[in-house]
Amino acid sequence: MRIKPYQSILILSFLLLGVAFFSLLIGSVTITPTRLFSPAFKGILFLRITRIVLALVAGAGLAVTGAILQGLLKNPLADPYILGISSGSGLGAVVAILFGLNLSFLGSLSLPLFAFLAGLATIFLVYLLSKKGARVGTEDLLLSGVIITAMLSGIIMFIVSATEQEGLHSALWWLLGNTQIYDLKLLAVVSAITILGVVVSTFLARNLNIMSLGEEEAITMGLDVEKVKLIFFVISSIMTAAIVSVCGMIGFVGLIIPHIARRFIGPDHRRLIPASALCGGIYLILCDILARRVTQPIELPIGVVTAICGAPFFIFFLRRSRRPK
Amino acid sequence: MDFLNVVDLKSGYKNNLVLNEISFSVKKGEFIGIIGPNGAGKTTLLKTLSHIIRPLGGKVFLKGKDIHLLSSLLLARECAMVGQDLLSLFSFTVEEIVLMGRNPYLGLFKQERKEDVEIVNMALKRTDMSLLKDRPIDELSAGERQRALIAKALVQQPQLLLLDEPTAHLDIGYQTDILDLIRLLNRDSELTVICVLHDLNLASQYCDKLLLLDKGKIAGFGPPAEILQYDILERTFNARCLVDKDILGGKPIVIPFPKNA
Repeated sequence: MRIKPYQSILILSFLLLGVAFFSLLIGSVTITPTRLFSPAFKGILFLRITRIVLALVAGAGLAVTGAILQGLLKNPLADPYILGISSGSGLGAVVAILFGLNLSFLGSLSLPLFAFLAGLATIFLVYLLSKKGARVGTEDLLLSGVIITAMLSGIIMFIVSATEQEGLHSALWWLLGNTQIYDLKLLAVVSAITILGVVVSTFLARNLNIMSLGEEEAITMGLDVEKVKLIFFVISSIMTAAIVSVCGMIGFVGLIIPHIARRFIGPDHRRLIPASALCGGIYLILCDILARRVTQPIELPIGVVTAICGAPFFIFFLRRSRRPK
Repeated sequence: MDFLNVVDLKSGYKNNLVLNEISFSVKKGEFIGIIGPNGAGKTTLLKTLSHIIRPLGGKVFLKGKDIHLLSSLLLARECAMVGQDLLSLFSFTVEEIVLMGRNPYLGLFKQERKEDVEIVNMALKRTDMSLLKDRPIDELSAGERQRALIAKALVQQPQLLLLDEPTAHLDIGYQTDILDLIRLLNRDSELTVICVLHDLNLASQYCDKLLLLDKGKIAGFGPPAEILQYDILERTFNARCLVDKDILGGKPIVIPFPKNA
């Protein structure tokens, strides 16, 4: 049976709704559907909804950024963190937590803001390092990204290992990723950035298709490759920095989900980007359920779950046949 | 006014001048072959004509317009390029790939319309690829893929078609098959063709004129019978060869000959 692209999108959307609803019911306390709206669960329900929304937004945003960068850099190993954003944001967050950087007028927003700005500063540095004249080489981008990531990760390790303060646990917890959020405004900002990013990149996705054929090919087809690179570079940087600054480093989603989505729906980025967003959301909500349930009453960092579950999942999908025929 | 006018072109990479003092002109509808030893600058010349490399000096005029003052988008409407092969990371179908060739008429923001799909279907028919249009490009044979790439170039509706060794990975059947197709397009729709070829006999059979490059300079430009002479070939390619004429069309045929015989 041949599944049409819009049918796949529809199926994925229903799957997402189902998973989100399921996630609403389970956790440290299981709620039966009939008692969902009873006043006793109002507080728990609210917390769970914010968690589900954040997991959805983060999963969607990371998966879409992965899809964009894989196409743009013509590299199947690209993920949202390959250009150094996560290490930059991570360093910003660790510094903010351990040195108690707290701008009083920002309150609880100072940590994510600090992480966001540090992430963007890092990616800007990577961009400058790979710029030669008017051109930015994709290989240079990858190389400088990997190098800067290695250096900043080293600094993070150094700071964490040299610390004996009580902040250590929360720094580590942050680095491993989490989907807890207490500030609704922050949730709204991250959601808005992600939705905007997904919509704009879907709209411009035809250019990614051409870019993925290779830069020289794209030039002869009339594509303004430097402009396309810059546009998608900016979109993916802002999305990733926003998500990382709130959720920490949730790895693996951005790497594997685009590959899985491509198997469902083919390589055309106009369909791949929405499909990646849906698959990423589904995957992260599922991982969040596991993070809450598996080692009850202790909660696992979600980054641990995405990586441990992601690898076998990925192998399973890679070993299956290529496109649906 | 000539269709294509190359004036004192210099091109290459950082600290490495590959092409120097390249001047030649091409009339509309001509089929030009570029030949020359490895490293002579054949591919660099094509890349400079197609905006991939910016020239270090000199000018290229296409229908009187300096192509390096045009945007890549506008140039891609006049001039399309077919490379040796397309190694796509993702398995797009033939139709998806060919449809991408409409990019010069869409720019950054537009999506393809119905007439773009019609143009694609016409190009698929002309290149005899209609039956394969739903196949993933990476599952085709090299010869079929080359036809798909020609179809992609055709939907750009160019007046100038550049080809970089389109027959490099093909057997003799596909070599003639692809070049027959290119010649048909060249004759039927006055598509001007500039084609890098390694095989001197194919160059001799298909091209109106040959441009012989040697060490970054033009070593000869004229009809095959003028360029494919044993002393010229011996000098530029450092190879011993016999040159004869084929009994059907009287075109030169080149037979390599062992140096130590």
